[in-house]
Amino acid sequence: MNPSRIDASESVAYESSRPLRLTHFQRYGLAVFSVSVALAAALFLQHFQFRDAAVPLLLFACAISSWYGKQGPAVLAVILSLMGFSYLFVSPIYSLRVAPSEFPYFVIFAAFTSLISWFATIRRRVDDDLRLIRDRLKVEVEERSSLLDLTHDSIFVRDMSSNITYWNRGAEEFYEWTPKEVTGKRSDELMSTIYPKSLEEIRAELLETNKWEGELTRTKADGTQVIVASRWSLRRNQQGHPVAILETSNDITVRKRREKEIQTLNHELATQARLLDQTHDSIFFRNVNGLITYWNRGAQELYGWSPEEAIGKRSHEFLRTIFPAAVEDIDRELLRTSVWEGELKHTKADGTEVVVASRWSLSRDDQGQPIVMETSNDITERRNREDEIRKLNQQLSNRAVELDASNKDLEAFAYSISHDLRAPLRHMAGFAELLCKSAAASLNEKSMHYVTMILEAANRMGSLIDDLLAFSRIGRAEAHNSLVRLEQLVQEAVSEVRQDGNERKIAWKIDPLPEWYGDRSMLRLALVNLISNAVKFTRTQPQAEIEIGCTEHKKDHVVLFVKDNGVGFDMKYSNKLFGVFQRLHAQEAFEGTGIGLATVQRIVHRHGGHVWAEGIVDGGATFYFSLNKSRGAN
Amino acid sequence: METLGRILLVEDDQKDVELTLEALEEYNLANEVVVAVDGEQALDYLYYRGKFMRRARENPAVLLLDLKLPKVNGLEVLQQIKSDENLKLIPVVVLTSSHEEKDMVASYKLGVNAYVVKPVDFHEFVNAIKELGVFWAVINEPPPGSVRKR
Repeated sequence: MNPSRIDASESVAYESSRPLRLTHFQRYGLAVFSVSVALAAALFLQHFQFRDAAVPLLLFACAISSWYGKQGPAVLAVILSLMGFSYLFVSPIYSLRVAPSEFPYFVIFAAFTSLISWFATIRRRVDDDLRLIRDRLKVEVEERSSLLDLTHDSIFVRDMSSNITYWNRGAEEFYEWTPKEVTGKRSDELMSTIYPKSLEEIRAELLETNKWEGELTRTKADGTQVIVASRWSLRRNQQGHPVAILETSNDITVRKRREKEIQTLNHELATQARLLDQTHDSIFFRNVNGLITYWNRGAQELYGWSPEEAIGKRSHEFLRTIFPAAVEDIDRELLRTSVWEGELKHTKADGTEVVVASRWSLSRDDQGQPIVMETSNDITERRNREDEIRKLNQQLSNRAVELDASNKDLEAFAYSISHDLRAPLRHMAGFAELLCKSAAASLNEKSMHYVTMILEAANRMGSLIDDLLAFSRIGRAEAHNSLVRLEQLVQEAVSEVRQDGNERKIAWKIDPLPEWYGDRSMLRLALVNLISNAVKFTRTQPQAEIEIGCTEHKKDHVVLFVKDNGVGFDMKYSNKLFGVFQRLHAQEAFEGTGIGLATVQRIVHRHGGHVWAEGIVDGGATFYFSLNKSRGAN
Repeated sequence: METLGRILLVEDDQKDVELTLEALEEYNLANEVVVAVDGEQALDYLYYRGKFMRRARENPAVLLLDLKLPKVNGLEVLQQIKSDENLKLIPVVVLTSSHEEKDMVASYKLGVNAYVVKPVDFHEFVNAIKELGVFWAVINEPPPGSVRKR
């Protein structure tokens, strides 16, 4: 037992009455000593003529001996007193004999001494008993208070003026003050107690109901603040006056902090939920059992179910989810990587199906239970469009296959024409020629004319076929693009045309032209066609003027023109200019097959450009064509 | 038909044969011409097979080859000739109605010596044939093992 503990009882008064612990020798010595002192004092007083001092002094010595020495010394002191008294003060003096006349006096003295000793002994025994009882009581109290020490709740007692009188081990451990440090201090000042309401109200409640419960904020010895749940009970004395307050408290700081954190989290969660509501993506949470626990506004918009209808439902059944793979595999992947993404089919409240791009992410709630957040957006339209595009692509590729086949047919057709149609023509021409040669003498002029007509027709048919084949070849041939110096190409085309034509006076004007990407041989053919046209239709002019130039030159676009001062054409027929076999002049006036400009158009189209013309009857014509780099540059 | 000639003409069209011979006649080359009417016959001639089994062991000085032929077409004949060690030295001139670039490229790839498109105009045709005949059968020195000028 810790001797420094404070007693609840009022035992302080007993402390000083504890008798001296004396040995036997000391006790008996005390008896001898006290009697001797008494005798000496009596003799001393008698010497100065004081009377009858011996008896009270000896009685006093006996009383001291019996008080401090108990029975044995008491008897010894009585015997010694009797002997000393009879020897020194009872006649005959200096003899132990007692005169009969003194006998009653002596007996009374003996009886009186014995009586005092007896009383002292009784008093002494009572005193000892009392001490024993007190000791037991003390042990009991200390045991009780040690029980209080067993609890880890802090318990302390304070009087009505708040001074601490008891401080258990729990309090010591918790507040980190020792009982010595706190005893007698005012509890609220010591711990800077902050009350949830005014102290007067608390006191009023305490006095009325004898107890109070509440949460207090306190500061510990090391300065840290703690929150405790505190229970007070009021102790009253027998008169019913309040004397002390017992306070039990336990630490709820951590719990309070948790509560606060949870509150903060809840607040954040609410904020997040509001944010989640802002998005138009559908977001819902489902727990480990697949039950929907959260359903945002986007989900409501997408699926047509309100949160009240959706929450608590098993999501997969509720939305009649159709998965792209086995749901077990999906769950396995989700558990492994915490994320899954894919396309799902869901059924809306109105029964229509939607395709969604869904993203699942796995997290855990505060209980550690897995929770899945499913974010989805509607891609039905996109999917439909993709399907449509796929269908169109399919159609397109079918068409391409068909086109390819018909191209092949066309090729075979052209091949056949170039071989099989030309041969009979050659034969017609050849044999007509041979006829002409062998029968020249016998044929009259008219017959010769017929033969000539046959030959001309055959030749024309031959050039028609050649032009037609060249035209169809442009459609079929692959373009071989390279950087072409247009100016040089124009020069080449001009000199080719001039070779064919008879010597005529033509004023040529060739402007500076850029370099361009394109199929060199095709562009050359186009230029030759346009330039030979210009030469042909300026035939009637005494001074022919032909200009080749460029009106527009941009990064990916160029416009060239061939301008002449020839017979021109009527603009109302300009739409017929570029058609196959379309001619605006009689064969007799200007020969031609009507394929040249169609060929030009085809070449220009293959270069991503277009061709057009401006003309006035007898006022010349200008043919424009544009070339695009985007098509030509690849 | 003379089975020994400097010119092997492979042509299925009788009219073309006639016109060709007509043209060559001017230089008295017509009797130098051996005519095969299809690719198979041309190869028979070159390999001494069938009715050409007993002809003289000499190669023609030039082979005038039409492309569009029954049975074995001109390009196939050309390929066979140019892949045979004994025949690949024979000069081959493709003589065709077609302007087809495809045919021309294929012929040159197979190693043709010349490619001539028959003109529709008879005069041009005669001139072309005459020049061909004179060049290949008279001016040009044929490789060893070919039929010599008599």
